[in-house]
Amino acid sequence: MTIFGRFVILATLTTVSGCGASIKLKNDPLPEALVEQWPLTVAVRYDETVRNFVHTEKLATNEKFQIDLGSASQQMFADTLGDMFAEVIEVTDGAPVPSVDLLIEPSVTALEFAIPSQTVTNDFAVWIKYAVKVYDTTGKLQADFPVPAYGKAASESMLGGNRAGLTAATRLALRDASTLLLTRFDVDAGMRGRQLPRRQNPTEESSDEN
Amino acid sequence: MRTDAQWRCALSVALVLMVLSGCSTTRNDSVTNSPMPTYSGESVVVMARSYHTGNKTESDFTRCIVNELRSGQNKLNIMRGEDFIDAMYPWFEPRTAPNDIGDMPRLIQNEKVAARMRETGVRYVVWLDGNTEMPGGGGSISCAAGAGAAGCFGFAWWENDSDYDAAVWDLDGQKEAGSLETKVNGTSYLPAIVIPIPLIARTRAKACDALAEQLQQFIRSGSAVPSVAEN
Repeated sequence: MTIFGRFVILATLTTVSGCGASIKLKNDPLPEALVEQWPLTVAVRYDETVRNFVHTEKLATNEKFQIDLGSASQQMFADTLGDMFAEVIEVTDGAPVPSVDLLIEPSVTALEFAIPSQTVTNDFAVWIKYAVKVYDTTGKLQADFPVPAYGKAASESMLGGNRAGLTAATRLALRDASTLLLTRFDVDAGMRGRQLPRRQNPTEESSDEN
Repeated sequence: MRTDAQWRCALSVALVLMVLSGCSTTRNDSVTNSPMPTYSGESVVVMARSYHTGNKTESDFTRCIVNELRSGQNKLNIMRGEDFIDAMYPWFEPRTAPNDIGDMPRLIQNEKVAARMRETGVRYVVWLDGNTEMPGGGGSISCAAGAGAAGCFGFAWWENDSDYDAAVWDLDGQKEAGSLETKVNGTSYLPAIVIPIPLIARTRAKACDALAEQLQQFIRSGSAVPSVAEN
């Protein structure tokens, strides 16, 4: 590489990633998913990390980064599960779980990122790792699987700097998490080819008691 | 002390040199797999191959191709890639996008996907692959600044290789109609006598022009003529 080339790359990287960044994601709705809907009613109990997640990191270069997912993960799960299941009931912490086919408990377990000066490219990358627990009608843990999502976005302009690139990569990672859920939930949750246990309806429960 | 005329002259020379560009060679190639039906205004969508497959096509190259395809005598009816990806969600995401036309029949078995595909009116999908690299260069430039004066002296050069290909899928016929390739190799120069004067070989822009022209020809007439040009 020429001296000029090195100078241009160094100048670009310095401009693009020289001063850290703090981003806060908006709750952008996802497009309607073209998937077959399960005729099931599910309850979802969001972990605190899904309702509000902030990742702060100081690099060796002293640049400080903060990625505030806010409730963007919750929005992502709400949109995704809404497309996957006939009915989704949100359950708050401590509240009793209504009679449903499945109870789903997602959480955020990790967030990592890389900026152009680390990747030595023009790209920002974001990894978000979710954990999803699925309980059956009896409350027994049916599956506990990770959802490792990845997003990569090129720095579109030097003016946008770290903020634009990181925001775009984080949005893509959220979208990737949704894609993984939409396309792999049946396998990951152990539902492929299985006859799902149907919940008893309230009249059956009362007649049993009698 | 320099006069205004001398300054104007120096500025004009600098501007002329700046609009000059480095040398480049453009090679176009194409493979036709099956005869294309007559183009009658059907929608075409242009997307870059997924980064999950290691593709590095720059987003501004994709935008350039889209803008070129929308313009000129042979302009095509283009749907924005982002709109198509949203409409087909989640089946054209980086993780799920079909790699091969052979993946399409299984995808279209999903009735929702088939119906949405019809709604979009998209007949042709163009997948872009490739990128621009700087494989080498040489030379050196030194710059110095002192009280009341600054300047550079030296000479540097570098090569740019823009290598892109486009696969054209015919969704109605469920086949890959053909593929087109454009390679542009160029050398840029940076002579510096007091001020550095870049003579840039705009290989990516030339690759965009050449590939877009080939795509217009191919989709409209079913073939594109291989060519080599130096400029």
